[in-house]
Amino acid sequence: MATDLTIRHRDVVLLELLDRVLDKGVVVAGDLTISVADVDLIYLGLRVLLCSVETMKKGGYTGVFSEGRQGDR
Amino acid sequence: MKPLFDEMTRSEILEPSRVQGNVDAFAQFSQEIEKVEKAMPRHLNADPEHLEQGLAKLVLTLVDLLRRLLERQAIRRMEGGSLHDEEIERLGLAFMRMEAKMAELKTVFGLKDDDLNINLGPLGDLW
Amino acid sequence: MICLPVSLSPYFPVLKNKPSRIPTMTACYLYAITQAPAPDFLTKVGLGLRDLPLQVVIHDQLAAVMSDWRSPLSNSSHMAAETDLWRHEQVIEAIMAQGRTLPARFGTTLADVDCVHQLLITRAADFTADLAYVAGRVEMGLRILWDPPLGPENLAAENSAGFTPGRQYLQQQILKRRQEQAIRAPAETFVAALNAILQPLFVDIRLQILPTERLLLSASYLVQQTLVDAFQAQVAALSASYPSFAFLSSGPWPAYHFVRNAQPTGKL
Repeated sequence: MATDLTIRHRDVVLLELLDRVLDKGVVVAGDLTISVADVDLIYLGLRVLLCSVETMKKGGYTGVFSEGRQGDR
Repeated sequence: MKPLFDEMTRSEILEPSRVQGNVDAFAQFSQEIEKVEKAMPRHLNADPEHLEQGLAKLVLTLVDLLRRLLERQAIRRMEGGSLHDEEIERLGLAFMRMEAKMAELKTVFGLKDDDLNINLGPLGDLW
Repeated sequence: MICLPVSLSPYFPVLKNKPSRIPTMTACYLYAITQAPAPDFLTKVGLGLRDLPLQVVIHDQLAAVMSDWRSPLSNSSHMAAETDLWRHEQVIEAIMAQGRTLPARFGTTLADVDCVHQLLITRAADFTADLAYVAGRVEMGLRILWDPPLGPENLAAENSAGFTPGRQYLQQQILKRRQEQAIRAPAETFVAALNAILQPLFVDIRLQILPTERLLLSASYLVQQTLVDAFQAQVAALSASYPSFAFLSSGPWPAYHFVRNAQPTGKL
């Protein structure tokens, strides 16, 4: 069905986009890498975000903006 | 430089031509790509509600890394013939218990196997 | 001057009190780093997330494109939606049309314009080098699905009873590992052959072989803009040659995978 195909097509395009914009690209200073034997194992962004693909697809992505809520303590 | 894209509009980004392939396989591709997404190291959430889980994930990932490396080392020695039967048995039981313990901890913190996998770059995935 | 990413704002709040006494959060949302642009640049690029206007911060030959993000803290519009992702991408591609560009990760924000300026100063050398590296080039994505070859049945025979439990456990681990390796070898051979054919058409590659059992390859290629059509044609030809595999190609994209963030600020 045409509609079915469009949805699947869109899913795939969105996943390809997410793979890039959420995980790659320039990141800002403040990140910490833990190295073991010169292999960078873990990459901690102090700019902290937690996201899953499902969350993003449902429109529930919580970005750095939400931390502003805690700023008025 | 010649412009890469003429007049961008949102519909052009969503344009199907951005992605090309066997349309029958799209659903399967989505499924597999999502699995890869889950395995990627995610940033931690500073939100206190999620902080514990984020840190637990980090700690468990490190613990699991050690466990797997040690297990591989034990297997290498076993295959190399430098261990007595009794040593092999003790090591096997120890690793068996460690694996069970890890499974327990994952349940406690609501983490799946994929959550603890990380990509070691040139070494490939952790497991 | 210390520039903290906005994410530390719960502890070091960046607040400006408005007369209405509702505290507001301000931040600079970053889209991309690009070569210092022509004066009419912004007229060609359009609006940013939430239709916010774009601003350019310049240092030397570098420019950062950002939006001034200002929102009351009580506003629940902090949740980002899919449209924000697409707008982010759209802005970056419009910037790319004007010159060499490094895309920023979605959600990258800095505390204020001074911090953006500082970013350009501290990382000038790396940004300049990376910009030169991606100039005139785009990223093409390729994923390939296969049906993994079944492992040999006879391996199971080695895992017989008669072993004590501990030893049996280790034997099982060996078996698992052998099965994985048995699949990996043909996968790597196939990918090497594929990339040998594509080799004249790409400059660089980032790839994962067998990130899942069914996903034989997940790769991003850095391709000269002028060779995009040839690259896509070659991939299509390969796809036709291997009907038992499913190919998925995407792009062109900005060079997300080829930005080299080799800047650990601390090492443990």
